[in-house]
Amino acid sequence: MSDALAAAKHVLLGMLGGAAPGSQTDLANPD
Amino acid sequence: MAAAHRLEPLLAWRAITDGWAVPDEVASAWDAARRTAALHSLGFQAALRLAGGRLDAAGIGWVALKGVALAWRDYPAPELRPMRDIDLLVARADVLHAAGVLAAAGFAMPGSDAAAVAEALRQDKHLPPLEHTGLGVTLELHHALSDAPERHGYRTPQLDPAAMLAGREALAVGGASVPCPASEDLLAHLMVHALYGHRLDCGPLVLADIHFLLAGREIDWCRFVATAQAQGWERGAALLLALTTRHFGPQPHVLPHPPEAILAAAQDALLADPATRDHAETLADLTAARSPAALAHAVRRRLKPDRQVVASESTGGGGWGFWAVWVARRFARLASRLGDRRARREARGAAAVIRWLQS
Repeated sequence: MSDALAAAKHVLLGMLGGAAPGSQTDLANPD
Repeated sequence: MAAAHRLEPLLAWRAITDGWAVPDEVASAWDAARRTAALHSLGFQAALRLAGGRLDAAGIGWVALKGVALAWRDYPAPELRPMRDIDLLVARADVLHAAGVLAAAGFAMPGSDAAAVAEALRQDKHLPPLEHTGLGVTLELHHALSDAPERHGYRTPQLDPAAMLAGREALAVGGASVPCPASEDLLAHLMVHALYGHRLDCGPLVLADIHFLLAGREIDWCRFVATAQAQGWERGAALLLALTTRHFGPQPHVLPHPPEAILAAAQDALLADPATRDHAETLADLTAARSPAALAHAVRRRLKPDRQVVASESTGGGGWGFWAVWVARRFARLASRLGDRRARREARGAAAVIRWLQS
Protein backbone atom coordinates (compact mmCIF):
# COMPACT_ATOMS: atom_id res chain seq x y z
CA MET A 1 0.00 0.00 0.00
CA SER A 2 1.84 3.05 -1.14
CA ASP A 3 -0.73 5.59 -2.28
CA ALA A 4 -2.44 8.38 -0.38
CA LEU A 5 -5.57 6.35 0.27
CA ALA A 6 -3.59 3.52 1.86
CA ALA A 7 -1.73 6.05 4.02
CA ALA A 8 -5.02 7.65 5.08
CA LYS A 9 -6.38 4.24 6.02
CA HIS A 10 -3.31 3.55 8.14
CA VAL A 11 -3.63 6.90 9.93
CA LEU A 12 -7.35 6.32 10.59
CA LEU A 13 -6.69 2.86 12.04
CA GLY A 14 -3.97 4.34 14.23
CA MET A 15 -6.32 7.07 15.49
CA LEU A 16 -8.91 4.43 16.29
CA GLY A 17 -6.26 2.75 18.43
CA GLY A 18 -5.40 6.02 20.19
CA ALA A 19 -2.59 7.55 18.11
CA ALA A 20 -3.06 11.33 17.96
CA PRO A 21 -3.67 12.80 14.49
CA GLY A 22 -0.34 13.75 12.96
CA SER A 23 1.69 11.55 15.30
CA GLN A 24 2.12 8.73 12.76
CA THR A 25 5.03 9.90 10.66
CA ASP A 26 6.57 6.62 9.49
CA LEU A 27 3.82 5.24 7.28
CA ALA A 28 6.14 3.06 5.23
CA ASN A 29 7.17 1.16 8.35
CA PRO A 30 4.11 1.10 10.55
CA ASP A 31 5.64 -1.22 13.13
CA MET B 1 -14.55 6.62 5.73
CA ALA B 2 -14.96 7.09 9.49
CA ALA B 3 -18.71 7.64 9.18
CA ALA B 4 -19.24 4.78 6.72
CA HIS B 5 -17.63 2.36 9.17
CA ARG B 6 -19.31 3.69 12.37
CA LEU B 7 -16.02 4.97 13.82
CA GLU B 8 -16.97 8.54 14.72
CA PRO B 9 -18.25 7.95 18.29
CA LEU B 10 -15.01 6.18 19.26
CA LEU B 11 -12.93 8.91 17.61
CA ALA B 12 -14.93 11.53 19.53
CA TRP B 13 -14.12 9.73 22.79
CA ARG B 14 -10.43 9.43 21.88
CA ALA B 15 -10.27 13.13 21.02
CA ILE B 16 -11.73 14.17 24.40
CA THR B 17 -9.90 11.57 26.51
CA ASP B 18 -6.50 12.20 24.92
CA GLY B 19 -6.93 15.94 24.28
CA TRP B 20 -6.43 15.79 20.52
CA ALA B 21 -6.31 19.05 18.58
CA VAL B 22 -9.08 18.45 16.04
CA PRO B 23 -10.63 21.07 13.69
CA ASP B 24 -13.94 22.34 15.10
CA GLU B 25 -16.07 21.08 12.23
CA VAL B 26 -14.59 17.58 12.53
CA ALA B 27 -15.03 17.53 16.32
CA SER B 28 -18.65 18.69 15.93
CA ALA B 29 -19.41 15.92 13.42
CA TRP B 30 -17.85 13.29 15.69
CA ASP B 31 -19.77 14.59 18.74
CA ALA B 32 -23.04 14.61 16.80
CA ALA B 33 -22.46 11.01 15.73
CA ARG B 34 -21.73 10.07 19.35
CA ARG B 35 -24.95 11.71 20.58
CA THR B 36 -26.97 9.95 17.87
CA ALA B 37 -25.38 6.62 18.77
CA ALA B 38 -26.24 7.24 22.45
CA LEU B 39 -29.90 7.79 21.55
CA HIS B 40 -29.93 4.64 19.42
CA SER B 41 -28.39 2.63 22.25
CA LEU B 42 -31.39 3.55 24.42
CA GLY B 43 -33.70 2.09 21.76
CA PHE B 44 -31.59 -1.07 21.57
CA GLN B 45 -31.68 -1.37 25.36
CA ALA B 46 -35.49 -1.11 25.39
CA ALA B 47 -35.77 -3.65 22.57
CA LEU B 48 -33.47 -6.05 24.41
CA ARG B 49 -35.59 -5.82 27.58
CA LEU B 50 -38.79 -6.37 25.61
CA ALA B 51 -37.56 -9.21 23.38
CA GLY B 52 -35.54 -10.91 26.11
CA GLY B 53 -38.44 -10.76 28.58
CA ARG B 54 -40.80 -12.37 26.08
CA LEU B 55 -38.32 -15.11 25.12
CA ASP B 56 -37.62 -15.83 28.79
CA ALA B 57 -41.36 -16.01 29.53
CA ALA B 58 -41.78 -18.47 26.64
CA GLY B 59 -38.97 -20.66 28.00
CA ILE B 60 -36.76 -20.12 24.93
CA GLY B 61 -33.01 -20.09 25.56
CA TRP B 62 -31.25 -17.21 23.81
CA VAL B 63 -27.98 -15.30 23.61
CA ALA B 64 -27.34 -11.69 22.54
CA LEU B 65 -24.56 -11.80 19.93
CA LYS B 66 -21.65 -9.47 19.12
CA GLY B 67 -22.32 -5.84 19.97
CA VAL B 68 -24.47 -6.20 23.08
CA ALA B 69 -21.81 -7.53 25.48
CA LEU B 70 -19.18 -5.33 23.84
CA ALA B 71 -21.25 -2.13 24.09
CA TRP B 72 -22.61 -2.55 27.61
CA ARG B 73 -19.67 -4.33 29.24
CA ASP B 74 -16.38 -3.99 27.35
CA TYR B 75 -16.31 -0.53 25.72
CA PRO B 76 -15.92 2.53 27.97
CA ALA B 77 -19.51 3.58 27.04
CA PRO B 78 -22.28 1.84 25.06
CA GLU B 79 -22.52 4.49 22.34
CA LEU B 80 -18.85 4.02 21.41
CA ARG B 81 -19.82 0.68 19.87
CA PRO B 82 -22.70 1.60 17.51
CA MET B 83 -24.95 -1.22 16.34
CA ARG B 84 -27.07 -1.46 13.21
CA ASP B 85 -29.37 -4.04 14.75
CA ILE B 86 -29.67 -6.53 17.58
CA ASP B 87 -28.59 -10.09 16.84
CA LEU B 88 -30.10 -12.83 19.00
CA LEU B 89 -29.23 -16.53 18.77
CA VAL B 90 -31.70 -19.28 19.60
CA ALA B 91 -31.56 -23.01 18.91
CA ARG B 92 -32.61 -23.89 15.37
CA ALA B 93 -35.49 -25.94 16.80
CA ASP B 94 -36.79 -22.83 18.61
CA VAL B 95 -36.37 -20.20 15.93
CA LEU B 96 -39.89 -20.24 14.46
CA HIS B 97 -41.45 -20.32 17.93
CA ALA B 98 -39.21 -17.40 18.92
CA ALA B 99 -40.24 -15.44 15.80
CA GLY B 100 -43.90 -15.96 16.77
CA VAL B 101 -43.26 -14.83 20.34
CA LEU B 102 -41.46 -11.71 19.12
CA ALA B 103 -44.18 -10.99 16.55
CA ALA B 104 -46.67 -10.84 19.43
CA ALA B 105 -44.37 -8.26 21.07
CA GLY B 106 -44.45 -6.02 17.99
CA PHE B 107 -41.41 -7.29 16.06
CA ALA B 108 -42.83 -7.67 12.54
CA MET B 109 -41.22 -9.22 9.48
CA PRO B 110 -42.20 -6.78 6.72
CA GLY B 111 -42.23 -8.08 3.15
CA SER B 112 -41.45 -11.68 4.09
CA ASP B 113 -43.78 -14.62 3.64
CA ALA B 114 -43.59 -18.26 4.72
CA ALA B 115 -41.51 -19.11 1.63
CA ALA B 116 -38.92 -16.43 2.50
CA VAL B 117 -38.72 -17.76 6.06
CA ALA B 118 -38.25 -21.33 4.77
CA GLU B 119 -35.51 -20.16 2.40
CA ALA B 120 -33.77 -18.28 5.23
CA LEU B 121 -33.88 -21.42 7.36
CA ARG B 122 -32.26 -23.40 4.54
CA GLN B 123 -29.68 -20.92 3.30
CA ASP B 124 -29.10 -18.12 5.83
CA LYS B 125 -27.92 -18.01 9.40
CA HIS B 126 -30.87 -15.87 10.49
CA LEU B 127 -34.53 -15.30 9.61
CA PRO B 128 -35.51 -12.20 7.59
CA PRO B 129 -35.05 -9.09 9.79
CA LEU B 130 -37.71 -8.28 12.40
CA GLU B 131 -38.59 -4.63 12.84
CA HIS B 132 -40.15 -2.89 15.84
CA THR B 133 -41.46 0.37 14.42
CA GLY B 134 -42.28 1.86 17.84
CA LEU B 135 -38.72 1.49 19.07
CA GLY B 136 -37.11 1.98 15.66
CA VAL B 137 -35.04 -1.17 16.13
CA THR B 138 -34.24 -4.04 13.76
CA LEU B 139 -33.62 -7.46 15.26
CA GLU B 140 -32.12 -10.51 13.58
CA LEU B 141 -33.05 -13.89 14.96
CA HIS B 142 -30.14 -16.27 14.31
CA HIS B 143 -30.31 -20.05 14.21
CA ALA B 144 -26.66 -20.42 13.15
CA LEU B 145 -23.39 -18.57 13.73
CA SER B 146 -21.65 -19.17 10.41
CA ASP B 147 -22.76 -18.88 6.81
CA ALA B 148 -23.85 -22.25 5.40
CA PRO B 149 -20.85 -24.31 4.16
CA GLU B 150 -21.99 -24.07 0.53
CA ARG B 151 -22.75 -20.32 0.59
CA HIS B 152 -19.28 -19.18 -0.46
CA GLY B 153 -16.82 -20.66 -2.92
CA TYR B 154 -14.32 -20.77 -0.05
CA ARG B 155 -14.57 -22.93 3.08
CA THR B 156 -16.44 -21.31 5.97
CA PRO B 157 -15.65 -22.55 9.52
CA GLN B 158 -18.77 -23.75 11.30
CA LEU B 159 -19.11 -22.40 14.84
CA ASP B 160 -21.33 -24.38 17.20
CA PRO B 161 -24.53 -22.55 18.25
CA ALA B 162 -25.41 -25.19 20.86
CA ALA B 163 -22.03 -24.73 22.57
CA MET B 164 -22.50 -20.95 22.67
CA LEU B 165 -26.00 -21.29 24.13
CA ALA B 166 -24.75 -23.79 26.74
CA GLY B 167 -21.88 -21.52 27.80
CA ARG B 168 -23.85 -18.27 28.05
CA GLU B 169 -23.21 -15.79 30.86
CA ALA B 170 -25.64 -13.23 32.29
CA LEU B 171 -24.94 -9.53 31.80
CA ALA B 172 -26.94 -6.75 33.47
CA VAL B 173 -28.14 -4.24 30.84
CA GLY B 174 -30.34 -1.44 32.12
CA GLY B 175 -31.65 -3.57 34.99
CA ALA B 176 -32.38 -6.61 32.79
CA SER B 177 -30.39 -9.83 32.76
CA VAL B 178 -29.13 -10.45 29.22
CA PRO B 179 -27.49 -13.78 28.34
CA CYS B 180 -24.27 -13.20 26.39
CA PRO B 181 -21.64 -15.58 24.96
CA ALA B 182 -18.67 -16.73 27.03
CA SER B 183 -15.68 -14.52 26.17
CA GLU B 184 -13.93 -17.21 24.11
CA ASP B 185 -17.12 -17.81 22.11
CA LEU B 186 -17.63 -14.08 21.58
CA LEU B 187 -14.04 -13.64 20.37
CA ALA B 188 -14.36 -16.62 18.02
CA HIS B 189 -17.63 -15.33 16.61
CA LEU B 190 -16.26 -11.82 16.04
CA MET B 191 -13.27 -13.22 14.17
CA VAL B 192 -15.05 -15.80 12.02
CA HIS B 193 -17.86 -13.37 11.21
CA ALA B 194 -15.45 -10.63 10.09
CA LEU B 195 -13.09 -12.90 8.18
CA TYR B 196 -15.33 -15.44 6.51
CA GLY B 197 -18.74 -13.73 6.57
CA HIS B 198 -17.47 -10.32 5.46
CA ARG B 199 -13.90 -10.77 4.13
CA LEU B 200 -13.08 -7.95 6.63
CA ASP B 201 -15.23 -5.36 4.81
CA CYS B 202 -17.39 -4.97 7.94
CA GLY B 203 -14.78 -2.42 8.97
CA PRO B 204 -12.09 -1.84 11.61
CA LEU B 205 -14.56 -1.78 14.49
CA VAL B 206 -13.73 -5.48 14.78
CA LEU B 207 -10.20 -4.52 15.92
CA ALA B 208 -11.63 -2.20 18.58
CA ASP B 209 -14.02 -4.99 19.59
CA ILE B 210 -11.11 -7.39 20.05
CA HIS B 211 -9.05 -4.79 21.91
CA PHE B 212 -11.75 -3.81 24.41
CA LEU B 213 -12.86 -7.43 24.89
CA LEU B 214 -9.30 -8.59 25.65
CA ALA B 215 -8.64 -5.56 27.87
CA GLY B 216 -11.49 -6.43 30.20
CA ARG B 217 -11.93 -10.20 30.06
CA GLU B 218 -9.81 -13.23 30.83
CA ILE B 219 -9.55 -15.57 27.86
CA ASP B 220 -8.79 -19.28 28.16
CA TRP B 221 -6.22 -19.15 25.35
CA CYS B 222 -5.64 -22.93 25.36
CA ARG B 223 -9.33 -23.54 24.73
CA PHE B 224 -9.54 -20.70 22.22
CA VAL B 225 -6.55 -21.82 20.13
CA ALA B 226 -7.59 -25.48 20.26
CA THR B 227 -11.05 -24.55 18.93
CA ALA B 228 -9.55 -22.35 16.20
CA GLN B 229 -7.22 -25.16 15.11
CA ALA B 230 -9.94 -27.78 15.18
CA GLN B 231 -12.25 -25.60 13.09
CA GLY B 232 -9.49 -24.41 10.75
CA TRP B 233 -9.41 -20.65 11.41
CA GLU B 234 -6.23 -20.26 13.48
CA ARG B 235 -4.62 -18.23 10.69
CA GLY B 236 -7.55 -15.84 10.82
CA ALA B 237 -7.17 -15.48 14.59
CA ALA B 238 -3.45 -14.73 14.13
CA LEU B 239 -4.22 -12.15 11.44
CA LEU B 240 -6.78 -10.24 13.52
CA LEU B 241 -4.64 -10.37 16.66
CA ALA B 242 -1.65 -9.03 14.70
CA LEU B 243 -3.73 -6.16 13.25
CA THR B 244 -5.15 -5.34 16.69
CA THR B 245 -1.64 -5.31 18.14
CA ARG B 246 -0.39 -3.06 15.33
CA HIS B 247 -3.03 -0.39 15.90
CA PHE B 248 -4.10 -0.78 19.55
CA GLY B 249 -0.85 -1.90 21.18
CA PRO B 250 0.24 -5.21 22.74
CA GLN B 251 -2.50 -7.77 23.32
CA PRO B 252 -2.45 -10.48 26.01
CA HIS B 253 -1.69 -13.30 23.56
CA VAL B 254 0.48 -13.65 20.48
CA LEU B 255 0.05 -16.10 17.60
CA PRO B 256 2.44 -16.69 14.65
CA HIS B 257 2.88 -13.45 12.69
CA PRO B 258 1.19 -13.45 9.25
CA PRO B 259 3.16 -12.37 6.14
CA GLU B 260 3.44 -8.59 5.77
CA ALA B 261 1.69 -8.64 2.37
CA ILE B 262 -1.33 -10.34 3.93
CA LEU B 263 -1.40 -7.85 6.81
CA ALA B 264 -1.30 -4.97 4.31
CA ALA B 265 -4.08 -6.49 2.17
CA ALA B 266 -6.20 -7.15 5.27
CA GLN B 267 -5.69 -3.58 6.48
CA ASP B 268 -6.79 -2.31 3.08
CA ALA B 269 -9.86 -4.59 3.11
CA LEU B 270 -10.88 -3.38 6.59
CA LEU B 271 -11.53 0.09 5.20
CA ALA B 272 -12.93 -0.96 1.85
CA ASP B 273 -15.55 1.19 0.16
CA PRO B 274 -18.88 -0.25 1.43
CA ALA B 275 -20.31 0.18 -2.09
CA THR B 276 -17.90 -2.45 -3.44
CA ARG B 277 -18.76 -5.26 -1.01
CA ASP B 278 -20.69 -7.27 -3.56
CA HIS B 279 -17.80 -7.10 -6.01
CA ALA B 280 -15.28 -8.14 -3.36
CA GLU B 281 -17.45 -11.07 -2.29
CA THR B 282 -17.83 -12.21 -5.89
CA LEU B 283 -14.10 -12.08 -6.53
CA ALA B 284 -13.29 -13.89 -3.27
CA ASP B 285 -15.90 -16.57 -3.96
CA LEU B 286 -14.72 -17.20 -7.49
CA THR B 287 -10.96 -17.01 -6.99
CA ALA B 288 -10.82 -18.96 -3.73
CA ALA B 289 -13.29 -21.68 -4.78
CA ARG B 290 -12.01 -24.95 -3.35
CA SER B 291 -13.48 -27.20 -6.04
CA PRO B 292 -15.21 -27.03 -9.46
CA ALA B 293 -18.50 -27.76 -7.66
CA ALA B 294 -17.94 -24.84 -5.25
CA LEU B 295 -17.11 -22.59 -8.20
CA ALA B 296 -20.27 -23.68 -10.02
CA HIS B 297 -22.33 -23.02 -6.87
CA ALA B 298 -20.79 -19.55 -6.47
CA VAL B 299 -21.68 -18.71 -10.10
CA ARG B 300 -25.22 -20.12 -9.74
CA ARG B 301 -25.83 -18.11 -6.57
CA ARG B 302 -25.05 -14.93 -8.48
CA LEU B 303 -27.54 -15.78 -11.19
CA LYS B 304 -30.49 -16.10 -8.81
CA PRO B 305 -32.12 -13.17 -6.96
CA ASP B 306 -33.33 -13.98 -3.45
CA ARG B 307 -37.02 -13.98 -2.64
CA GLN B 308 -36.99 -10.58 -0.95
CA VAL B 309 -35.51 -8.98 -4.08
CA VAL B 310 -38.14 -10.65 -6.27
CA ALA B 311 -40.89 -9.58 -3.86
CA SER B 312 -39.75 -5.97 -3.69
CA GLU B 313 -38.73 -5.39 -7.32
CA SER B 314 -41.01 -7.61 -9.40
CA THR B 315 -44.68 -6.96 -10.07
CA GLY B 316 -45.28 -10.28 -11.78
CA GLY B 317 -43.83 -12.75 -9.27
CA GLY B 318 -40.41 -13.00 -10.96
CA GLY B 319 -40.67 -14.58 -14.43
CA TRP B 320 -37.96 -14.99 -17.09
CA GLY B 321 -38.25 -11.34 -18.11
CA PHE B 322 -37.62 -10.13 -14.56
CA TRP B 323 -34.70 -12.56 -14.19
CA ALA B 324 -33.04 -11.41 -17.42
CA VAL B 325 -33.29 -7.75 -16.41
CA TRP B 326 -32.03 -8.52 -12.89
CA VAL B 327 -29.01 -10.46 -14.15
CA ALA B 328 -28.20 -7.75 -16.71
CA ARG B 329 -28.35 -5.06 -14.02
CA ARG B 330 -26.22 -7.11 -11.67
CA PHE B 331 -23.49 -7.63 -14.24
CA ALA B 332 -23.66 -3.98 -15.31
CA ARG B 333 -23.00 -2.97 -11.67
CA LEU B 334 -20.14 -5.44 -11.47
CA ALA B 335 -18.66 -4.17 -14.74
CA SER B 336 -18.81 -0.57 -13.53
CA ARG B 337 -16.90 -1.59 -10.38
CA LEU B 338 -14.23 -3.27 -12.49
CA GLY B 339 -13.44 0.15 -13.91
CA ASP B 340 -12.75 1.55 -10.43
CA ARG B 341 -9.09 1.17 -9.44
CA ARG B 342 -9.79 1.32 -5.71
CA ALA B 343 -12.56 -1.27 -5.96
CA ARG B 344 -10.34 -3.61 -7.97
CA ARG B 345 -7.47 -3.33 -5.49
CA GLU B 346 -9.66 -3.84 -2.42
CA ALA B 347 -11.43 -6.82 -3.97
CA ARG B 348 -8.12 -8.39 -5.03
CA GLY B 349 -6.74 -7.84 -1.51
CA ALA B 350 -9.76 -9.41 0.17
CA ALA B 351 -9.55 -12.39 -2.19
CA ALA B 352 -5.82 -12.76 -1.43
CA VAL B 353 -6.55 -12.79 2.31
CA ILE B 354 -9.24 -15.46 1.84
CA ARG B 355 -6.88 -17.60 -0.27
CA TRP B 356 -4.17 -17.30 2.42
CA LEU B 357 -6.66 -18.28 5.12
CA GLN B 358 -7.55 -21.39 3.10
CA SER B 359 -4.01 -22.47 2.23
